[in-house]
Amino acid sequence: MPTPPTPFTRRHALGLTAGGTAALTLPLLSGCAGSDDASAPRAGGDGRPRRGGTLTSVFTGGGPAESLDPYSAVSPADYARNRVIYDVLFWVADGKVNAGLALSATTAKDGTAFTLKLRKGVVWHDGSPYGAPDVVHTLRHATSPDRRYPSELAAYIDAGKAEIKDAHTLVVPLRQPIGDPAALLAANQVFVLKDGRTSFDPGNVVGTGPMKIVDFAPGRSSTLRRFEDHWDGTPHLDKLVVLSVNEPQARVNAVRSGQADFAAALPYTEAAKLRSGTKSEIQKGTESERTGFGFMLTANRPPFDDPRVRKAIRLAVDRKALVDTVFLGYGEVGNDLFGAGAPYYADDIDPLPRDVDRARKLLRAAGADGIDLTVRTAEIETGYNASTQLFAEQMKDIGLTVRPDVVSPAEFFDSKALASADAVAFAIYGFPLQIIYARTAVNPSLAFRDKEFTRSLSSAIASRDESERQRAWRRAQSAMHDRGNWVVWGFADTLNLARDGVHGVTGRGTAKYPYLGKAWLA
Amino acid sequence: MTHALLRFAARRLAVSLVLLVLLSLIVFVGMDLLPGDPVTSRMGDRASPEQITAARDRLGLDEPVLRRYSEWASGLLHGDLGTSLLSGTPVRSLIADRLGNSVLLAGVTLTAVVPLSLLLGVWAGARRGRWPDRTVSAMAVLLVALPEYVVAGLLVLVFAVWLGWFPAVSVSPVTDGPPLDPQLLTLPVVSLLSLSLAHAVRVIRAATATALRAPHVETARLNGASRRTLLRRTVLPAVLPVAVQIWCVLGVGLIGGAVLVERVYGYPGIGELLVGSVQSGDIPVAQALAVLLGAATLLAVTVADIAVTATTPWKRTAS
Repeated sequence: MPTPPTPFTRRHALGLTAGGTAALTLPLLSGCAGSDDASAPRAGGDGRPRRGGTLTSVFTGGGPAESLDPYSAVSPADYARNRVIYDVLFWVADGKVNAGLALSATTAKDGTAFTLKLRKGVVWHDGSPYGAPDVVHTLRHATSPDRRYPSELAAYIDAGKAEIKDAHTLVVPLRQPIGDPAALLAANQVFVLKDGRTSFDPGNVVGTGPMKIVDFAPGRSSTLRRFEDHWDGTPHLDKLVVLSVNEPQARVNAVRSGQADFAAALPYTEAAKLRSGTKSEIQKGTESERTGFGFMLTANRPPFDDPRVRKAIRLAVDRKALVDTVFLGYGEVGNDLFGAGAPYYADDIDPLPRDVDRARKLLRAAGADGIDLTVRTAEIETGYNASTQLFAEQMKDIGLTVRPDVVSPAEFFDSKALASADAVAFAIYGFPLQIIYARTAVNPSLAFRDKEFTRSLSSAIASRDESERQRAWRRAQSAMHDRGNWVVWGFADTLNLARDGVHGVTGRGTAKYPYLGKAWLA
Repeated sequence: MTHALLRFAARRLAVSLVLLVLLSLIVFVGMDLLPGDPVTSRMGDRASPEQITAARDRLGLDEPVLRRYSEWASGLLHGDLGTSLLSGTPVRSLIADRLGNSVLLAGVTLTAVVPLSLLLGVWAGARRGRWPDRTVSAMAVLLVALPEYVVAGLLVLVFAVWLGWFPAVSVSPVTDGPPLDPQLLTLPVVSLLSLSLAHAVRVIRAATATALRAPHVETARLNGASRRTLLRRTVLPAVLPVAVQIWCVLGVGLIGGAVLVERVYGYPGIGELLVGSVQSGDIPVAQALAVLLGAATLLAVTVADIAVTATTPWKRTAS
């Protein structure tokens, strides 16, 4: 039976999901962890950050393979620790690129290199001054071809030929024209290492970040102490403890029993179970720190080489049901474009309203009535498999038989198997768009080959002019939304659990392993 | 020790050695057949098929399986367990870091299981069909039937979250060494104890009951032997060999099989390392752990068999 169309806009949907959320957990949801660093910390008492205290945090760990090498990070615990030991060149939050240890990155007119201006007055934990040689060393270390796993940055910059102009200026050659190198560096989280450092024994680790490492037991715990001379002001906490605990329920228990103050990555099921009055609160990442969930259709062969079939799927998917079931309402419906909250993201493009009749007509016109499809999925993020199952149910409404091909995360990205599926489940964080569009096209079968899209994309990436970039990104996203191969049905919130009195925890672009360098205890 | 016993021990060890070689081959080939590898699992969403092929090539993942087995096996003989494909860390150091914690947890649990299971098992078995037996048996059945994570979850809820007597997770900001703090160990040990104790008690209770029905025990009782003498002279010698076997097997199981308890308490043991390495396709770590645990099980069973032979007169002297 055809389902009546249910038109709703993103704003409607926001209201609806907020309602659903309220029913589950309103008493607990605090405003959020602060919209980001710019926001005033939520006040305990007079609202001003207090100095002192030890914050004990719990993150998913990486077992004995955890490391203090920021370029070998394997787990959220690694990232959380690295983000306070080291500083990055740039970071993204709320759609803006912010200056870290670099102040600006400007591409030369011919697009072959960019000039990086560094922050002055920064010192390392050992008291020595920071400068251009450190950044050159960092870029070479990060993009070295000898690395076990290649760095994404290596495809864009030629660090081997980077040239130091003065103590705080360097020129980095580009392998392809990049109009906004700061966004690229921000997306890749370039943690700056001290010149010559390639070993990361606990006794040997030096950063410029707000915290210094004191103790480190991989896969178990680490203790960090305040670095008084941090360039961005003296940190508030005396000490920070990072515990590695993999089971989400155990992380919740650690906070609820008072053993820890802050637990990252709270599953929605745990959030829904928590009741008010437990002396803890759920802190929600900002809207720009959501993870986009969807399916990528294999557009280089039938049936999805036909834009009508792609459109039919996007008309038939019930986004609201997916958000309510898979995210338990902690999120927002998607408009088929990844990258919500990133700079240049087309926020004003509304999701397609569900229209089963039109979808059926499109299928019939394309001769794809009643076809069978396989969708490859693995529980890479909680929700991949559940969303695929529900998607399969929803597609029955337009007469399609969808068979979820559930595999293990270790085998999910096998490129031959990816290419043999008709669609794959996919989720990606709100990185800068150039990273999202590069990653989603890395597997040839998942790339969207459309003349206007490709042209707009390359000019969006290469253009040095801000307004031209804006226009080009808009064109690329309009093409993707109109006839592309993404079915982005929702954006998932990131939830963390904190005891009362924990303030100043911000996402700095990634609420999954938040930035604890500005945290304070009331 | 008699010659017969020595011969038995030697034969038993030789068989174990052959089994171990077979086990290592099965483990290696079996893991190799598992779909997926750390290259795609680690960089799948950001690397092109060419980059993935290059990385597989660099890690030697496309070499023939038997060649890789022989290299790996010869490394094993020299104490080299290989290198983690995911982190590049030597597998030996990855395992060493966690093995001590697992042995500690298993050791403490077993230290409690041995006397308690013997006492409860013999006590219940000697009173077969009466209230002590019924109570102990019912409790044991209940505990065996309850999944580990339910017991562990309840304990943490009551004793950590509600009462606050013990920490909810068994990790603390310590620099090094196993978590020796009794506070951190209590809940994981009690959780493991509940299940393993129940298993052991059921076996020992049954062995005791059977031993008490034996004709020579009946004769001794009719001859006026006291209950205490009966238990010491006739029942214990019959029950102990069975008990030793169950304790040995439980001990090894506790080292590698405590994964659920490790997860609930965030205890840094090898069970979780094993599961994690299989999930991420980090084959060398999974292979090393599987062989290590297999070898430990074989050794435990062999030791138990030899112990049974040594404590059973007719076996000890049979040629």
